[in-house]
Amino acid sequence: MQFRSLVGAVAAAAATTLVLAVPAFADVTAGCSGEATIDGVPYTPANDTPSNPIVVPKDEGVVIPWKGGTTFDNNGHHGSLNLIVGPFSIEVDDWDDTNGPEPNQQSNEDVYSLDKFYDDSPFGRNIVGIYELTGTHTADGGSCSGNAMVKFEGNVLASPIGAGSVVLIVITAGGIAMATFARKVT
Amino acid sequence: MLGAISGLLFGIAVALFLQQAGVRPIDNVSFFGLPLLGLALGLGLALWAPLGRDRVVAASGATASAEASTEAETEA
Repeated sequence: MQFRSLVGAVAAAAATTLVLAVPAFADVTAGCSGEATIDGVPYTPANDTPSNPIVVPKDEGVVIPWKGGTTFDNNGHHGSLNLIVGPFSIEVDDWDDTNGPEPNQQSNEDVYSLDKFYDDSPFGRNIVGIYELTGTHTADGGSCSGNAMVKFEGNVLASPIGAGSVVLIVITAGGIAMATFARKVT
Repeated sequence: MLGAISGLLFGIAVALFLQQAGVRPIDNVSFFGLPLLGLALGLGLALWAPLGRDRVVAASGATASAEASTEAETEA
């Protein structure tokens, strides 16, 4: 009977986690705007669902023009972009006003080298899959944050994690199947 | 035990596969929810054991042992 209670508790916890996690994807909070163009396609924080992600190419030499701005006092600003992996985050880029050419500069634009990202990534160009990208920007006059979905296309089985997950699915499915043959205590 | 461990790892593997396939990112939902669901699935199937045999032998063995013990006490 305790075993049944344990199963029920685990199922309830899982269900609660799933219900509470109804996609909370949101646009940028008030005060900030941003846009990046990849291969001629403009992307904004509106690309915030798995079905409408920012598609990142694997080609070499890709540069991404971007621009962003704030509506509040931008002195003393700092911010960062992070990829979310479960409870962890991996910083992709950061910025602050130490190199800012002007005080209270409320908009900026530049280009981002994708090669730099792949060089810094532990998986290099083998990275595939979809990730949540979050950004925050804080300054004297306020702060804002936003998120978007980023998709690295590629063969799932060609990546170590993808191939490993398939193998693990097969093995553990076998384990679950074997558990159905367990002897019943009567 | 086998069902619980297999179910937990199964949930983790499915979460990883969905992320790699571009279906769903690894957020708190898939990081915690899917393994928990897998754990519940494994535990549930292990408990239900629809293809398992009843442990009749163990039960009758215990009865036989108890009967033998009673007989020994009577003889003594």
